[in-house]
Amino acid sequence: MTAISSEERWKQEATEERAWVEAVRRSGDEDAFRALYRQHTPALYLFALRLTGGRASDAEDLVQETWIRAVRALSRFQWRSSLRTWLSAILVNCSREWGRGLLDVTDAPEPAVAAREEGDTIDLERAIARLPGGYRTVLILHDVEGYTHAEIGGMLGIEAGTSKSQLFHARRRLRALLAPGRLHTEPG
Amino acid sequence: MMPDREDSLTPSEREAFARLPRAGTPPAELEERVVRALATRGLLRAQGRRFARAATLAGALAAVMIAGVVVGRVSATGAAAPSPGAAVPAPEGKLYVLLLLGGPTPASEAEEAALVREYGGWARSLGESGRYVTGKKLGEGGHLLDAAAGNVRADPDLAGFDALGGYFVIEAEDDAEAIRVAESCPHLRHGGRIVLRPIQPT
Repeated sequence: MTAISSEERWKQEATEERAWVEAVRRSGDEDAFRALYRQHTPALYLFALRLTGGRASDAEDLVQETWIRAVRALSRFQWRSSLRTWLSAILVNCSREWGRGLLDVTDAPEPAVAAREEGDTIDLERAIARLPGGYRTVLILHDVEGYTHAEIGGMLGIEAGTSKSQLFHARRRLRALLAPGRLHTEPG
Repeated sequence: MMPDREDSLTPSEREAFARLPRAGTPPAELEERVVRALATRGLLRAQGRRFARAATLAGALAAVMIAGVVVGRVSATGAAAPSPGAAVPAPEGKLYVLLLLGGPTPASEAEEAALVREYGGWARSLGESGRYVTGKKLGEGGHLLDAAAGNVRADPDLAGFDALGGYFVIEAEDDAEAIRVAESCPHLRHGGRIVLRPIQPT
């Protein structure tokens, strides 16, 4: 039996995804939607959780609203980006519109006192959650999700240079929150 | 001039970010919640169901009419109104059409039931006062035929189609009364809009 190569698997998954999208687009097929939901929601949910600073209830609301808007706009989706990227952009827009303090891209002042006590370690996820909303979003989009500054600019309606500047401040703030010289993830 | 805000992650930082999980575990009930939200907005159709579950205003109107809650006109003599579907006697005043745009999107069965009662009550009051002529729910999708654009095309996804959910035809003495009737429609309280137009007498 010939094992399927990863490229072939990718192509197969991409074909399935397009078929599900078409089924939802044409006839609101629930089974097809559930397949899309199960494929993308784990990543979307974690993304939403990070954007909301760990507020699970807000993250769930964001995910629900993202899917509602996505299904409504599915007829206009033309595969110029991956479906995942498109969904992420919708999620980011939702959070902006809801104004949950997530995307205030301004230069927040540095804390007067270091946000940690000596000997205290804060894992990376918690440190990200403690960043001001605007910094947190740009850092997540760039350093966690892997979007370029141009893509981030498009999502947030800012210049790529502004995204770069915000990332600079975000990393500086993040490093101040973490124990010096140590950057680690939560065990397990 | 903006300073060159360029700094790179250190190798250990890059490694730490790379170790972060890329997917979480959403609550199991979130899937049902999302599916329900889509279904009540008419965006999904469950397999095996003939009709999409409707939770828009149009759906509420349909439920009202199918249940026979909307009563036909009551004549000036107080005689029993014709049942929906029966031939409607010639009205004595002017006819107006109310086109219902937008409106509520109930997120639960309880909300939908409340809307059905509210719209149904309003329609009943029209019937009892002799103003109700007819009313229908519009189906989903549709076509736009536009000869002026040089083509005739069917495009159910055109903007605005989803907004028009249903209509009523009422009888009123004049424009002022028609407006008063339209203003009393619960549709306006729920964020919808109403286009009120006189029907040209033939």
